[in-house]
Amino acid sequence: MAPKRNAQEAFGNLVVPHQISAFAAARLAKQSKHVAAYQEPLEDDERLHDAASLAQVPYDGNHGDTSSDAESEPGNSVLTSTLKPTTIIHSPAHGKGAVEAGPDGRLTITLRNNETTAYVGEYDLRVLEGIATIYGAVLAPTSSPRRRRDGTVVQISHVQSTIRVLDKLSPLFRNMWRREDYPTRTFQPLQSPADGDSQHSPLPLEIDQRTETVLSRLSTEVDSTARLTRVMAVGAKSSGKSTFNRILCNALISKPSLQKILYLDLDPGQPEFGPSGQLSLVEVTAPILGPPFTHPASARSPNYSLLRAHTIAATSFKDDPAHYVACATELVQHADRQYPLVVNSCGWVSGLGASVLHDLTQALSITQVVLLEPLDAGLTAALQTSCTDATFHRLPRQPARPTARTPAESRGMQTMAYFHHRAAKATSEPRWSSKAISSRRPWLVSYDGPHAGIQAIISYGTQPHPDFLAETLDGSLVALVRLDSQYERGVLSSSHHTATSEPSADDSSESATTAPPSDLIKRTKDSLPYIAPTTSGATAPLDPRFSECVSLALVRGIDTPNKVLQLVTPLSESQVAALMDQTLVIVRGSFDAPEWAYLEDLHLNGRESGMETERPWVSRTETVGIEGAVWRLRHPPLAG
Amino acid sequence: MPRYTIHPWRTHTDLLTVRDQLYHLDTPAPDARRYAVDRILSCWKFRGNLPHAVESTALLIDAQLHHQSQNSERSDFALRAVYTAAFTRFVTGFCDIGRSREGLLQPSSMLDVAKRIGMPVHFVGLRHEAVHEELPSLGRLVGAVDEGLRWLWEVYWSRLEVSALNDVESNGRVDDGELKDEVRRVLKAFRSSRRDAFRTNRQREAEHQSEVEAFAQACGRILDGDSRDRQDVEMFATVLVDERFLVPSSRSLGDSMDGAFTLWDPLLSRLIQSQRRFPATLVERLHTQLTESTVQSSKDVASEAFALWLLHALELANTYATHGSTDASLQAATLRVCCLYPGSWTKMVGQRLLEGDAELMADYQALFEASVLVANSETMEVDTEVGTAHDGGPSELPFSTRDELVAVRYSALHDHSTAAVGWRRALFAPSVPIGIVA
Repeated sequence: MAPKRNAQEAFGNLVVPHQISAFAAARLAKQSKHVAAYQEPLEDDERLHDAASLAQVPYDGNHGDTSSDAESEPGNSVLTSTLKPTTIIHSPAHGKGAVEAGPDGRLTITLRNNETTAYVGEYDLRVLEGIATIYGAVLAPTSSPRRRRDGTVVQISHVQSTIRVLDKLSPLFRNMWRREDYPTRTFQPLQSPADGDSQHSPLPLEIDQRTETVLSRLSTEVDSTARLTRVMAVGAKSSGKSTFNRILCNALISKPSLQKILYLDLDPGQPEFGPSGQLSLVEVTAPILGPPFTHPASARSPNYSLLRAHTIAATSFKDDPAHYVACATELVQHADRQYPLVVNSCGWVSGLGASVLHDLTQALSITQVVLLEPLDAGLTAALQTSCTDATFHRLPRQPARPTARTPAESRGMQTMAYFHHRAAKATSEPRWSSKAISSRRPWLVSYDGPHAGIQAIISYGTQPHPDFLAETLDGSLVALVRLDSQYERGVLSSSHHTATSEPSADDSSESATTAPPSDLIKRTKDSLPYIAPTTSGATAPLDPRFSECVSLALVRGIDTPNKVLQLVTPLSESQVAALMDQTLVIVRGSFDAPEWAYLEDLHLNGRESGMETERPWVSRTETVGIEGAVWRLRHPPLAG
Repeated sequence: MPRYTIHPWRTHTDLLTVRDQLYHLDTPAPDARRYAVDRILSCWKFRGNLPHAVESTALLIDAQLHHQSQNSERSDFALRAVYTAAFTRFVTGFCDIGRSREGLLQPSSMLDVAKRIGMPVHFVGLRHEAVHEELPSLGRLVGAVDEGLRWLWEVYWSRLEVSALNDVESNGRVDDGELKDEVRRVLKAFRSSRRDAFRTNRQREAEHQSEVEAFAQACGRILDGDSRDRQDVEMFATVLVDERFLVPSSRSLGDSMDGAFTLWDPLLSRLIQSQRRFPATLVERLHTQLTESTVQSSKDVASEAFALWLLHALELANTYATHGSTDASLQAATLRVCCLYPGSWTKMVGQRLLEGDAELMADYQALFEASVLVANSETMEVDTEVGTAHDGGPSELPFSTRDELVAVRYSALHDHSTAAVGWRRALFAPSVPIGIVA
């Protein structure tokens, strides 16, 4: 019977500690940096060196993510494993009955000191006796912790799989959860790396001695400084910042005296807690285990509660570093100094990135800087001279890990999960909606007239030509930003379409006194309201002190005859209801194209169906040979 | 498994239009090139996934347009700088992409890449000169940009197919009016064939059965037409319902509809079986008929007929639909319509549905009764409690419906047009792809 076999296998994968990393390093070196995790890569991967094939490729910095500057997601890249072994796998002697399989597929595992075990998938983990650590978090039995001198008993049980509904909607989420050997279980033991299929094997997470030392120093710091600790890890891309931050967070919230930390997510390219382009302050009360798309922060989440967010509407702050720093500075004002703050900086450590990091350490009053070396000596010196009060810790950067997804793909997955995430009722686990985003009932938001639901469309970065604003907006991602009512007048000037219920006479007289009568809001020929750029060419970004990013939205369609935008947002109806009397603007910028959204219903309904209808921005691609390396748009299949 | 490409143009036709404008293939409107360049650089570029060939073409032509413009402020440097920037971006992009495609550890030189991809090597030479040496003279730049545009035509634009898809969109599609006439013709013929059969009492004969079969196939062909568009199904249902094919002309209030049902059932049941979208579209059309008649007078003969047809269509869908769960959601959708548009006939439909289904009863009865009350007394307070987290599960439908009620009433308070309120939740889940307004 299956359970017994499972138990055997699981047992076979028990691992022993401190058998270290030469093996791991060698294995890493062998692996190509970018592992193809798809059977069908989404990226065009024909190796045709002729211009006709290259002519179709966008030149936007996203091509060729195999180059070494691609930021991997250390620790969660290859597989979505919620549990990482801390050492390389080595099978102990068989026998001993260390793993028992329960009736409902749950496993009870007895571990001796310093043993680790690894399971891949989604599962509940309970420590029955002793103490276990996972990704830096320390777990103990919830009731009457009994110390056992000789080890720990943990129980792993399967869960109602939730996030896996996304498999059906996008190939990005497939081939990630290992083989389906155990249909009744949402997890399975990690095979040893000696097995075939090594490209898909996850690598164990190693917390080396130096990291341990830094962690314990930071932990002591938190205890002694009455928690006025603000930590920022500084390092290049793929140097292990996010992994370090997670381990640190998990270690800190495991302290019984603390149980809560604040996380300032300032990496708009690969955020830990939100969709890309967003900077957020999050209250963390549970260990951060899965990859970022498994734990989006939201205002209602009991574990990762979103306190406040701003958007820069781009995956990099290169267009407006001052606004980026202003957003970060504003967010930190909302951080309760009673709790330690962990800052997730982005991995841009040279040039403009270095000077922004320098500004951030001062603006955020960072007290602890963790340098993941090697770093540019100039940056290190600059940080040290400017932050005389801060303590500096040094760690070697972690070796880059192979990634299964390019950064653009990871962002796509994260944004997709964000849109499918259902705000969970308190205490319950996050849930994901299995409906294709195209069949979600959109919000119909009027953009003109006295009851307009949004007041203006603001472009960050480069502004599209007003004649093309509708075409640019249609089917793209935007951010919904709420403005404070006093500030609204300044930004929108004498807009006569304010959402406030004041009588209109009053309205106009007031705006005449507070602002020049010039109306900043212009309208396109479709009446879309927009704010024209100043003579310097850019639109002034919204002041983070008086505005707040509420959510992202997908412009599902624009109903120009009725002057209605169809927006899909992850917000619940009650959250939208609470926004109805607020001043809202739409911010667009250089968000990634939501390619996943255009294809979800196609993937959901299987092959052939769906392309018979008009489908904007999508065509079928045939695999092309050398001679015909151009698109051939097929005649639409006559299905049925 | 098919692979899909996402591109910034909405349809292939858009891309071909832009090509014609850029390369003067159409009758030259004076601003056509400017318009096409702006569209590429100031719209498609922002949408992402813009092929480098398209972007380069727009950059090079933008430089030409800059040169041709009558701006007296334009300095020689500005002119050369614009040409240079466009040209270097064009060349660098191709070489970068080519290089990353090679995936070599030791990246090859730009010159090597250019040779390999068949780009004239002097493009690379000119780029090198422009970046590292003096800015090239205007004459050389103008020549190089022309040559670049010809090369781009060669490697990209000329290879775009005026595809079959495009034919369907522009030429192959039968004109909508013609198709409608065709539908009318088939429906009328079917109706008279059935009437004749009943009159001569041969409705059960094999000969007549095969006639019916032929009509069903004719309708199927219309619905399966070239474009296989959802619009065809909608158009069909619109003709069928709106043009009163289903309602006996001599009908008076309270008459039984059994005759009409018997007449149409053989055709409708076959279409429900064979056309995935037909049941929902038919029911939707009937909803519209019921809710659009502004005065839902209890005396209205047609409204009564549509209400009875609605109930009958749901039953048919229930019996014949082969496509899974559609029937249950259709009933729920109908109930929501009944709640949102209280009137004597929607009330009748709602009551019948509730009586027939215990589950619906549990979900909707309270709401339904409340809506009837709302209709009767305008001062009725609607519970403003909005639904908590919902994932679209059937048991949560009543919550969202209540929200809709709130929104509808809210708009009714402020304005009599339904588009008045800032945020409203769409009543139905759309069945069209992103980017299409249903």
